[in-house]
Amino acid sequence: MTSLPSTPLGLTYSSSHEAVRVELSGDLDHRHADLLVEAVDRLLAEHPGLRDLRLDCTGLSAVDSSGLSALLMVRRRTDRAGAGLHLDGRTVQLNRILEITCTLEYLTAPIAGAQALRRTGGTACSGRTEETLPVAPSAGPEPRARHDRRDTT
Amino acid sequence: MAFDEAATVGTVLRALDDGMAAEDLLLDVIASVQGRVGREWAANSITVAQEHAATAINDRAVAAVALHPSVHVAPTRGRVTVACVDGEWHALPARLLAEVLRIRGWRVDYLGAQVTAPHLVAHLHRTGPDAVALSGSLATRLPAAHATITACQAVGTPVIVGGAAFGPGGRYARLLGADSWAPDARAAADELARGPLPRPRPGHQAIDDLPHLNDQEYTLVARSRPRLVRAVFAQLEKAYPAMRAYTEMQRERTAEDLSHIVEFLAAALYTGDEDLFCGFLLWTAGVLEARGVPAASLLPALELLQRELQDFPRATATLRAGAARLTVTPLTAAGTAV
Amino acid sequence: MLVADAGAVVVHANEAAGLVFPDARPGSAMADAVPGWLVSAHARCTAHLPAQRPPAGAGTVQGPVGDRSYEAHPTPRDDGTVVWWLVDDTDHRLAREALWTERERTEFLVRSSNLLLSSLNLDRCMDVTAQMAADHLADAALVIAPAHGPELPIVSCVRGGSPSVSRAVVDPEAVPGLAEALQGFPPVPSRWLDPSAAPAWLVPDGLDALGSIVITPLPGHGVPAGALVLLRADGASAFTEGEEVFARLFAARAGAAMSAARLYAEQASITDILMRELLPPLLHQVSGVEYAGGYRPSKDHERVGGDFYDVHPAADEGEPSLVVLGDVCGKGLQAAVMTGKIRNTLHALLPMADDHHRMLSLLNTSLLNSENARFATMVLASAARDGNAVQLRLTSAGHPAPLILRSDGRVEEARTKGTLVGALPEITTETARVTLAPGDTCVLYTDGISEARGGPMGGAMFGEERLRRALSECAAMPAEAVVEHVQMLTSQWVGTGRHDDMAVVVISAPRTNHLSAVDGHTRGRFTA
Repeated sequence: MTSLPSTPLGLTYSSSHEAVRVELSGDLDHRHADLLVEAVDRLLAEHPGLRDLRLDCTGLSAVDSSGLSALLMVRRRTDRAGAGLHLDGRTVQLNRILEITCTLEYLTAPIAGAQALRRTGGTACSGRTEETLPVAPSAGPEPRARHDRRDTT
Repeated sequence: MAFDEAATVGTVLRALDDGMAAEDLLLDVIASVQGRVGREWAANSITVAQEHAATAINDRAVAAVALHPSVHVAPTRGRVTVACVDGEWHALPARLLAEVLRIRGWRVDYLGAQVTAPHLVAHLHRTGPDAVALSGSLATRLPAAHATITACQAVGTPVIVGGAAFGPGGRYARLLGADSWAPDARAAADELARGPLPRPRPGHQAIDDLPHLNDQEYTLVARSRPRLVRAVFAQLEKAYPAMRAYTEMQRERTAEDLSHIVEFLAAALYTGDEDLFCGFLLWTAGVLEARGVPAASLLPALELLQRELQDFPRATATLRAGAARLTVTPLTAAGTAV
Repeated sequence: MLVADAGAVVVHANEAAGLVFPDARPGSAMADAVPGWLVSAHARCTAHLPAQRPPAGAGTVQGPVGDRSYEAHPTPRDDGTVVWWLVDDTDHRLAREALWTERERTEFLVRSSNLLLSSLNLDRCMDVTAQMAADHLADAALVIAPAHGPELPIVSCVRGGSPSVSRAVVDPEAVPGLAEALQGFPPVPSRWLDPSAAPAWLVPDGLDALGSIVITPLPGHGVPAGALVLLRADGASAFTEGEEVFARLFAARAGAAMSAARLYAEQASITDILMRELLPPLLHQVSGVEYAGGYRPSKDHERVGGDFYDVHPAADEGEPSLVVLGDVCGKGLQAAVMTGKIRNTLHALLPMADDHHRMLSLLNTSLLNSENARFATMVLASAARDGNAVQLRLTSAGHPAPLILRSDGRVEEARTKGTLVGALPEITTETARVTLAPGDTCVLYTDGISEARGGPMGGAMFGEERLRRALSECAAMPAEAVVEHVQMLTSQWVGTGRHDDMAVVVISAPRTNHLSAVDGHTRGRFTA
């Protein structure tokens, strides 16, 4: 999340039947993160009933916390619009930040699941009833023991 | 070197209880231990991390002195701000001076290491001290020191400087327009006690101190340091296939050494003093020899830098002078220049 | 035009000359008809030896005639007489004198402005004002600032001396014009004061007999900056109208500088108070566990940013202390305000610090909002001394896992993981339990450290590997030294380049049983 002499965020759009694809390039950081949310708002308004929004992340050079915040906002917007969100071509750095923050699953969950979760107010890997589930898929090379809050007392 | 904090602090407190003057304890005991730490580091016999550990313990010793009941002094003199040059990590000398001034009755604001010029200036506006005491040990930070000195003077506060960065006899202190220079903390305290430093006149321009900066060589070399390091590194690899077998650590060490060479070159260009660069090279050669690396290995790097900087007459002259000094100065077995 | 011979007898005076010198008639002696300066100039022009005479074309003299001033240009003629051409240059001279005075005054105003503008410190501005006024406008000067409580801050200066500061409990009403000047209302011009009516405190030491006193308001930016009192000694000429006008010009500049300094001081103190709440605390030893922290905000001229840390000592001895280190999304002051909110919330949640998950869940809920997804990541660490060792419970909420540095130099990553807080409706956490043996250290850091860009070749990431290597050199070092070492390495790594906020907190199990009693916070010696 270092502020470097950064390359501005580039957004390239292409749309096919029921799906819009946005190619991201450059830095998704605190200087440009708002651009993405605004662009998604516009796309959702222009394509009512959109089924899938695909963000192609292959060309992203850096993502900072504001960039992640923008992705979380995008997910809220697509959920509200009933569109599926897909983060394609995730870079190593993007995967790393999503894994550390435990947001990968939320951001990439299929829309139906997300809607169901929204109704129950939970995400796929949380809640007391889910305690035995592994916390994070692909969390690391070695399996991690889960120490939940009950273990700590 | 052993890092026994408890023993150090205990010794210091006992000395105070036995009636040793706090100023003598700070300057004749703690400062001289710190001086030894610095020399051990310079001679490459302790690591930077060990130096930090030793310094942290000395710092606690200073804190122990400062908090000792015998050392409480009500301020009777004016106000002084003590700070380190921006980018300086050796804060202990400044800390020692701050405590000595406090003991002598000054009201002291000690800002510590890593003080940027804007932060310092804001502090000066708020507190309006009689003087700023600025400490620096690294010659590569002289440009930053100059910026700070000028900034303090621009708001009407005189600056007394000290520390190894300012060169033998404080020659760079005068060059950078400092209002005063002191060889050590005691001398600085004496100088401040002699009477207020005259207020600097406004309207002084930093460039007036160093007209040679007009050629922009300093700026261009300093700005392109990473590029120069990359270029020289790549060519060294080409010329010395052995380098390709270096471990990641060795490669990084080499790049760091190159980076330091360029930093000191830049500082020499800033001050217009070739000796600053030559002195650094001789020291590096000593450290390299101690690491088992022949000092002559510096020569190709200097050669390549000269080629990269061929459009810069002062830079190439400085590099040539450095190379010449390396080849005529024999090194002892221990790696120290004689 | 006036012609006189070698014997200094007037030969001819035209009508115009007759008007200037009514007694100059042919035959009259010059000495009886014209001023001395012209008589002596004539004598030089008619000297016996030609070498003593002024060369041709030179010898123009100048002098007063009555209340006017004349230039006299000599033209020697062959018959030994000299023709004097007289030119009235009174206006020219006055203009030149006025110009000279103006130039001096302008120079003085420029110099005062330079001195005054260079500082935003009120005391310094008052010093400069008093000194400049004493040296250039009067024999002594006082600068009086609006009351600071019951006292008036006063700086006085005698010509050639240095300013001295005092505070006086006096009634400004007792000095005509002073109260109005200090209130800035109603607007008052400069005011003359009868020296015999001046209270003693108004007369600085070193000025014996008082001649005249003028009080001039120092107008500020919409608020009064104070009053300037100019004093002249008895015998010195009183203030002319021109001098008074000029003093007002000076007062306008001084007043503007002083009120800018006052505004700055007020703003700075407000910022300071607000900032104090946001600054990271100084860490020290608590209940037998060593803590040290270091912070560098991304913008070097700011002192706060989006990283934060705190150590909350346990309410009861033997219970764990809670350490928090975190990073809010965003930068600068805005981010700092959010750190303040989080730190306050966590402080309120301290009673449930034994349950990290619950604490983080509640924090998560309190931060959630629909407008944005500004989140925070953090690590909670509960640390309690247990014999010689320190027991840690570590929980990451979307944050890089803490590193454990063993006293032999090994570096391990704590196995904790969890969801960031403030963006998702629910969070998950995994808590790790770690035991620190004496000399072991736990390092919490923000990604400003691990993702710092730079290095000797530029553009490289500092990275977790390099951080681990750096830490392994710090085995068994005091906590502050570890913090300082990490900070120095990362700062050198980024060099002059831009960087994110960087924070690091170190928790150590002391290596020896002696605890330093030097930090003033230790509860006492710990014996294991």
